[in-house]
Amino acid sequence: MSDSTQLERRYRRLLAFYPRAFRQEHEQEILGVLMAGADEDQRRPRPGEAADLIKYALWMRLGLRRGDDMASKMLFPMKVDRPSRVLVAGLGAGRKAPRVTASASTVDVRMGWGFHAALARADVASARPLTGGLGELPGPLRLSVLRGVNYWRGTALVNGAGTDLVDITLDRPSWVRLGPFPVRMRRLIVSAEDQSGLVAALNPKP
Amino acid sequence: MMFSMAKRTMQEATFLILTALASGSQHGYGIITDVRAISSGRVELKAGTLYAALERLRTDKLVEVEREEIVDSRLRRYYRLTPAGRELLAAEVTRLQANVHAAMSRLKPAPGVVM
Repeated sequence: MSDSTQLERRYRRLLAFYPRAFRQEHEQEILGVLMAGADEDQRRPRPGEAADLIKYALWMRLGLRRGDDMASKMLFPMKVDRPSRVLVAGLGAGRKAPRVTASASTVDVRMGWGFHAALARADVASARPLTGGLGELPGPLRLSVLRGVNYWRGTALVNGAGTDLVDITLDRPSWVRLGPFPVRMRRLIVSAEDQSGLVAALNPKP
Repeated sequence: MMFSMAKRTMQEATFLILTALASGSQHGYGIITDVRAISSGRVELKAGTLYAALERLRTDKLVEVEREEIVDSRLRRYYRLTPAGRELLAAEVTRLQANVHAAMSRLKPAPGVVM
């Protein structure tokens, strides 16, 4: 077997660490780059090169992007007014504030054990301030006294204040957790400390 | 997209990849050799690093695939900057220039020192 086919086989074995989708798109291309950079009689990948491939393959599998996904996460605490604090604390959100966390690829919404949604950023169709308040909502959700976690026909209301609400619509229904129960959600209304900030963070980039 | 990257200090590898693409499209190996030249041989991009960076830059819409070719029965992709990528690189250059200027002005030779 010639040196170059042996080398290529070894490179291929390293590339197998990458996620399948990435490999399908880039394997041939990266092999080309690796082989172009190899010496004539090289039979093995250089140690630094192999470590580098494995490192980024693992990064990709873990869904990390050179640590910058963590750094670019934005946290928006939910707005909770004084009368609702006891209720919200009862939902297990006493120690960790109820919040919306947005990163480049995910939107995570949590109110203690009462509500948790891990949404793909790409599934968010729109986010807008709910200017008309709860009265704008369908069915029983329009009751202005509703606080805490509420759900009706695909719409979840996670509310600590009844004001500064953000109306988030999804392109397709997502499974979210309502207490112990999984439900399908298409629309989420959440009260935010920084209503306009959350709207800006969730809207598709220009 | 812009806010997530622009707020942080850009990594040198990213800066050099964007610089390599600023004067026209290049394929992966071309970027590696160009980055070596730009950095006077100091930065030797490895394939894993390069493709992780390209993947991120494509997700952030700073870089895009211009065309694909088959060379020696292998796929070769040419990458180029998007207008947003060009803008980000320009912003980074301005930032670095300001830093360099500040450093230079403070490094003014002390009296009696010949530089």
